[in-house]
Amino acid sequence: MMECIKAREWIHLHMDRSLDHSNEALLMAHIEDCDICRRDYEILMSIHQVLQSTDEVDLPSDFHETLMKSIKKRPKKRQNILFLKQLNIAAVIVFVLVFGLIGINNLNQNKSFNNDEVSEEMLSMSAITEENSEMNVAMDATEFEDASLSRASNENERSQKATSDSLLLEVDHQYGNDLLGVRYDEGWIIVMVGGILIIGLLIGYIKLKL
Amino acid sequence: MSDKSEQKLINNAVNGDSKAFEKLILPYEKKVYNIAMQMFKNEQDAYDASQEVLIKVYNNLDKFKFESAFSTWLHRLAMNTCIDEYRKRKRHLEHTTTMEVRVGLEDESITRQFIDHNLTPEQEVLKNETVLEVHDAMNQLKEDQKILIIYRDIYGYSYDEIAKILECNLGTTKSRISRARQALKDIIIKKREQTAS
Ligand SMILES: [Zn+2]
Repeated sequence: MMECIKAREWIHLHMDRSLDHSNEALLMAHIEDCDICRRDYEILMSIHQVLQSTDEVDLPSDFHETLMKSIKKRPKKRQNILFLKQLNIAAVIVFVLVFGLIGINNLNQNKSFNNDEVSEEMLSMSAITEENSEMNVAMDATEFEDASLSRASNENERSQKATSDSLLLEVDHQYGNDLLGVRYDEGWIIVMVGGILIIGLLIGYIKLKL
Repeated sequence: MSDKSEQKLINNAVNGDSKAFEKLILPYEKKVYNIAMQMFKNEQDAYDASQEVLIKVYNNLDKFKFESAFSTWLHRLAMNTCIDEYRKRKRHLEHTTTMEVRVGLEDESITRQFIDHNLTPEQEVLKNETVLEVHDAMNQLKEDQKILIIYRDIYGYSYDEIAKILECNLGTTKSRISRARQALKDIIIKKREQTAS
């Protein structure tokens, strides 16, 4: 004869349909004999039946709309993260532009064109040389260590600039050297610092999860 | 929805894409509302509580780390929110006298919910009595037991799923559910003894 404690445990298994056949028979035999377990079994089974026949109700028609409205109303910290990301991208672009321009300016122009007295004609010439030097910088960025190669192309560049230089000669004699006071080698340092900053910002951007 | 597309929606929603959140949450809305409906037994409270659950999902989505299924995590929020909100309302109801009026109104809608068209009128009366008896007992059950009965016996969630929602082991989960059923049965027995005497 099985004990009531065991029977109680098995009633739950029976409700879950996970009591095996032989134990099922033992349980039913006990319920026949034991008034208390029979009463418990009957109540538990009727509870189970009622609960299982519960119908699903439909979602109120405005439920989803209300939810989306209250979500859009909440400016979340998540949106701040999105803002941070945009700020980071903007910072990267600004650094690329600023350091790119300074780098170009100093790498290829020993002598400054930023002279008020420079004629219109000379400015348009320098625009052409700047276009060429942009290509140079692109090369420099990929082949950072190979400075000699870049220098060699700078030599090329300079021969191309011969005409504009000759035009500047007169101005140079009058006003001396570079107004910014940045020399050839210092241009490289600026490009490198700029590069490091850009890499730092990109790491920051990746860490915020793409 | 496949796990992968759900994962993508979660990531996009975390990045502030409300359309992605909408797609992610849409398949769960009805279930959450129904669970709240069983918990509160009135439309307004169920509406408010289930909105609360889904807003919490939105606000805490960045804390979801894919350590469980998304549905498990969502139901954990649903369970906890339903329990909290139920306690708040119970405390509030204890201070008001409208409870009897409310229960009276609810009974009617509850029996309507359970109508079985294959029964004879006599059987229906008997059935309705049982339905009301169970409903009444559910109302007296402690909230943490009530939510377990809702998940297991009304919506048929497996012990395994419930264990994951509770972050409990399987044995503990099974015995907690057995105790909840036992408590429900004891409430009914007590009630029957009271009406008999
Ligand atoms: Zn027994």
